[in-house]
Amino acid sequence: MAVDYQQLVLPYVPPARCGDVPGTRRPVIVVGAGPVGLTLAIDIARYGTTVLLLDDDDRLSSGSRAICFAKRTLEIWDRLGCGEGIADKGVSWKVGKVHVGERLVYSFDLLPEAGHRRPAFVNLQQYYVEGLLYDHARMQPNLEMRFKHKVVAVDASDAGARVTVETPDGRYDLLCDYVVACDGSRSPVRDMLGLASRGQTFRDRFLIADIRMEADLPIERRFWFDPPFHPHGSALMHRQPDNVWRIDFQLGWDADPAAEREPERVKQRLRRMLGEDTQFDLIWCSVYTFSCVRMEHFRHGRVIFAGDAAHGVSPFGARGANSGVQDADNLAWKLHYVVRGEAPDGLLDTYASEREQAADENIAHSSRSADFLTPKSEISRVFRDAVLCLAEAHPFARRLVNSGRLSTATTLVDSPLATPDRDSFAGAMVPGAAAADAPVTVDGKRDWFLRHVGGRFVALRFADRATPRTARVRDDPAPPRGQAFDTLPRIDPLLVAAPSSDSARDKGALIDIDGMLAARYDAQPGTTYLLRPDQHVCARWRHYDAGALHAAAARAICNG
Amino acid sequence: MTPARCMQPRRAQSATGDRMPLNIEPNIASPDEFYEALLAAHRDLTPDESQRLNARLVLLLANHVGDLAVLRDALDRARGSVRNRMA
Repeated sequence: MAVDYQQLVLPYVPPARCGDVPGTRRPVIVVGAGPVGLTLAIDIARYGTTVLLLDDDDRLSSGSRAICFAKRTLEIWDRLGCGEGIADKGVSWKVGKVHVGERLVYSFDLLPEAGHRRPAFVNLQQYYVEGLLYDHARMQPNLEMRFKHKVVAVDASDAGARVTVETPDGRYDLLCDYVVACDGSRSPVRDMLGLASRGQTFRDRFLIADIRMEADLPIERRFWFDPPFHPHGSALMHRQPDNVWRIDFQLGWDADPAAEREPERVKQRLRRMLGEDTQFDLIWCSVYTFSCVRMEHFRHGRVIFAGDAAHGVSPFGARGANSGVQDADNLAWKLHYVVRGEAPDGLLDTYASEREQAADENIAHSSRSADFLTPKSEISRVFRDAVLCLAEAHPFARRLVNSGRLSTATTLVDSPLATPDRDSFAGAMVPGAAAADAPVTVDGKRDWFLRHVGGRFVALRFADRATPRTARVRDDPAPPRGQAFDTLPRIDPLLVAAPSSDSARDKGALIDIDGMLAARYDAQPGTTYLLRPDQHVCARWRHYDAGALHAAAARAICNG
Repeated sequence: MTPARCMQPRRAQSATGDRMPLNIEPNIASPDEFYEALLAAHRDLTPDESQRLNARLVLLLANHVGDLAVLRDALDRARGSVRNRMA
């Protein structure tokens, strides 16, 4: 029988039975077991570093909350070994439709091309995501989770961090090298350090309702401006699993949140939308406002912030949880390399710089959407309405309609870890980009490219005549030594061969069965890519060059 | 004589100091006819309706121009002529 994740009570273990040895110093403590904290803790543990995850509660997400999980997020969970369950449970979609009044004016396809393992999005209630992540977390030998263990103080210095934890059975202290706060938009850890997220709050309120109903509607994101059932506002509808539908109504700043949450009033709004005869059950509702904010710095010495604790956006681009999971993806390998002594502490600064830039991008998209949905001045309303009016008959104006620009993988442009191109390349796989997926075959079986990269540095080599039958990076001449950190990351070779080539017979070679991998990576025979453990592109060359590869890898761990 | 509410625009400059690419040389074949048509389009409209017309007109013409650098130059010049005073 399926687990009811809404009712699941997570185990509480009193501190006396946690088995702590006094004076033990842990490498990493993660605070907050939401989607971001769980992802981060699983990821760190799978690299081989022990991690303790603390949460002040013993329940999963109350209500569906975040529901749209993006392709890149699913790919990250695939790398952690739990993407399949989440993708299978979720409802896949890729098409969004925008209506003005009663007319459909614009529709967009977020993944118009084939040859990707994961869809543009799945919709899934946050408690399912957390439940499935929790089930996966329990299987990680390097990961310990403590529920109802609330962090009440963090005392960090150059020497280390002391975390004070409060439980129903009293307080205790823990020592660690690094604390990662994934404790949400109201981050208590942020408050404890006297820090703040700053930005702009939009003067608007939205009602969000989950209903259960039998309906044979297309699986799409449906958005309305000024619909007949909700004049002067916007509305948004999404399908979730279990016949649950998410509906979002723009209420305006003057709406009374308490009155708008009254179930009868909510049902009245829903009946206007769905028709008087439609049967539905209201299962959850909430009224929210939103802000576009971020902390100035995501790293404060030994305390690092991720997810909503570090940045916040409007929900219309699905950029909250999705960007938080990308934070985790970015941070986990860096923490692992640093606590293992395989990279300098400065590598963690690049988590901050890369993800601060990503947050700026997300905030820019989110703020533009919010300015369109909630015009801040008379003239911005005039232009917004002009766009909506022109959109019906003028194709150009449809591109200006902004009902939310949906989350995609952030390309880490200007990353200090990326090596700028020396050779000429076309396409999207620039240094800093998240690696694109493509169908391949391995030993005759259908497979996906992304299943073979990530979790380590990979030298992806498109075979040419010069490629030895077993292309092994480690056999290449030793790289120059003598830096402060005398280690270079291990680089695993990965050979890609065209279906009819000699190299296609090599055991373990990926066969680019449809040619999509070469197309997406603008690859020719000899083209070599270095990919980071989080699957982002470090560097690329037209010809294999072991020295350049090692130099790029050294740079990617701040050791170059 | 310059009307009081029309300030001379500051020369728009790009970050590199090059002149931006908006064409400010005469380009309308029949300027008087265009001006007449512009006023005719607004005839009998309330100020509110005129504002809505102008918004649509800006969007339509902006799409025709297309080039963001040209559009930014035009926006800078237009704003400058409202807000900046000559030294």
